[in-house]
Amino acid sequence: MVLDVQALTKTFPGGAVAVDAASFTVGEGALLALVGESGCGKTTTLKMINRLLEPSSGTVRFKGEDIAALNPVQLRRRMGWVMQGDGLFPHFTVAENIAVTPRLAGWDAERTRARIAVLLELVQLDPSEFEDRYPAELSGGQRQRVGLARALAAEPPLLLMDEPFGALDPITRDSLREDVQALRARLGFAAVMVTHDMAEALLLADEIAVMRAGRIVQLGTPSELLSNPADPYVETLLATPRREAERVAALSAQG
Amino acid sequence: MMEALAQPLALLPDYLGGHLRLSLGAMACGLLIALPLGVAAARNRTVAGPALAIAGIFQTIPALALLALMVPLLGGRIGFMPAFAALTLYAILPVLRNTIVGLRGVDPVVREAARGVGMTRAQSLFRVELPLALPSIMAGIRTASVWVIGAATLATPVGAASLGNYIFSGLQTRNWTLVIFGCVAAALSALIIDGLLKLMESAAARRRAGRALVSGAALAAIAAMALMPAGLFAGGGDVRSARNALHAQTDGFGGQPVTIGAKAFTEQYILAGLMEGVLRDAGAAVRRRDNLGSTVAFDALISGEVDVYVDYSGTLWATLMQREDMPGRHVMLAEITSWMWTQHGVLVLGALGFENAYGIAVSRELAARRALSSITDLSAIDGISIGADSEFFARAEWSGLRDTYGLARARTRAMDSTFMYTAVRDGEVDAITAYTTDGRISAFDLVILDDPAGILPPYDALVLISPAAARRPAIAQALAPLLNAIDAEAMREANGVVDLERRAVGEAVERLRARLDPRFP
Repeated sequence: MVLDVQALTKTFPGGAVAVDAASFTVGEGALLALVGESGCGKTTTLKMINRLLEPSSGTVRFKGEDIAALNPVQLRRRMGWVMQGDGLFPHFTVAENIAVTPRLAGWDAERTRARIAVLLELVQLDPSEFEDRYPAELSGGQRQRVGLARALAAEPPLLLMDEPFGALDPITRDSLREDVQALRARLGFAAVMVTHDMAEALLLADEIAVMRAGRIVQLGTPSELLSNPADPYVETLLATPRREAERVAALSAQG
Repeated sequence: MMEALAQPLALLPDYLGGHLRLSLGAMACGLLIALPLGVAAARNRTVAGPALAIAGIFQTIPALALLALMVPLLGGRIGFMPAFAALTLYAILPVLRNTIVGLRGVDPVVREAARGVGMTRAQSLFRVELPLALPSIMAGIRTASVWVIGAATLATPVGAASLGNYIFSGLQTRNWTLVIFGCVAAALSALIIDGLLKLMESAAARRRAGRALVSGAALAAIAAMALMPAGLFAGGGDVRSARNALHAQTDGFGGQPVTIGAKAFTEQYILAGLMEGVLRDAGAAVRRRDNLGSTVAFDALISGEVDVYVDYSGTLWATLMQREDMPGRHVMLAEITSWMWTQHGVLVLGALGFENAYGIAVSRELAARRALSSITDLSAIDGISIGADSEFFARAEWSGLRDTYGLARARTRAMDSTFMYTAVRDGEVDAITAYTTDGRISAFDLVILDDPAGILPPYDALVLISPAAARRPAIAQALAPLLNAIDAEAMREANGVVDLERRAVGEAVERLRARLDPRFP
């Protein structure tokens, strides 16, 4: 097991409970999606996993170790981090952005250079063309691909993604989702992905945790959710992708 | 033209060296304070508020006043230190403000990304936040450097050599070539430094290491050149003081050079030149500190940075002793002498023999037309305007004149003393408070009005000797022949050589000395 989260709780000063006793696990190579509306606590949960935020109570075990006992900076170098709106360093080239975590981790130059080339190929960017470009010279989809390559650079066993495809147009989003699945198959990392898009979660995740007002209201595989929604809220979230799928199927049948 | 430029060019290494040493030193020190403070303030609002407020207050104090204030704050020290301290304070605000603005302007997403990829706070600061804030910080550094190089011209009145020496001397002796030379040299320095900083910034932004290195090296070379004359100067000083030490037993000056101070007007330059010649003839090594601000000169005397200078009884009486009564000339001299000795250990060697008093002067034409003979007659003129140097209207003499002679409704115009005489000649003002030894009184055909109530105090020129120099009797001995040797006519003529004939100060000194020659065999 890569990640074991138990009764994770975050109370902000003033008493607002952002995350209320969330528990889930992520196995080797599995992808767990945290799904819910904005403000439901899914991003807060994600940030407690790499200690960008400190939990009020509860435990997170990463590869068997309690992260509260680990140095947070060292911990983050062992987890990939993909954020919405890419978060690339604008003054670094593509290659330098990808090299950040390997350099922090003390890799030698040769190994880093080789890794950059491999990763750019994997996210379908030609190294010779893109290595020396600055983020401002890339399209949104290309930037997000570089963000993905940067997160995977130091060979982390776990990838954390916060709305990774949120700011992209539908075609780019779709091709990037395909890339993520291909990368998982190839590299075998586990992942936690935050998204508000239930269709995305259904398509990508091995397991889905539906969050509402800080609580996990249902935890299960996509087919478990579809066949047996635990409460009306989950039903509502599932309604849109279901309706869309049915209409597309009906149109295809007419054609 | 080249001839006119020869004199300023010969002084350029000293003045430009002093100017750059001062401004680059203040910039470096300002950066050392402002950058860490800016980083702390960008992260912590309780630091930012007070830091910006305090730096902002320093910025609103006019540069000239800030420089002058540093003299008493640093215990009366004049020269490099007070100017350096004031300019350092001046350099802080733009750098501090732009550092804070630049760091706060870094996209929070990028800052979070830096943490998310596993950077420590220091790594995030040095690898991400500071590089992204660099354009803003560099803009602040460039603003500060232009301000500081400009304001360094104002270091002259506190006794630090700078390009301002050209400007102040030129203004006082009406040598416009000197003034323009000083301004152009200061402006060029500012432009060159700013240009190099700009080059360095754009090279750094485009990451042209070579170009950044070249412009950085050019800046370093300028800094090194600025320091070099100081090194040479200090070396020369060592040789000289070593030589003086050899003479120490025989010359009676204790092997130390004598520093002569002068305020910023023609008569002071001439008298300082005269004392310099007399002391050199007696075997002393002499240093000059010209263009000191009026009260800066006295502060410097007390602290021993100046050994001797000439001040005027009326000025000492009103400005330093804060006295408003008028006990008469001889009592006043006696009281000044005893006050100086008991309060400050300053030796009043004696009077030079002439008086450089304030006198209310009008043009002869106006005097004839309105039948003016005494200051009392001025009250009859409606809307009369009076010009004076900036000190005068703040003194007790002015309130005395105003109240005694009914001048409450007069319009007062403070101006540089250089311009007063032409202003009254050309009718821009009706009357001025002229200095009675100025050559322009007779040259412009001005009339000094009577002061029947005796409001204007006597202004005998007195030789003042610092507490330290008072213990070196050779100084007093060498200067003694000057006492009571210069009458008002002689001084007026010497001033006229510079102010009217436009000759060099050195020539006026020679002519004055020739006139006194029987006393100096």
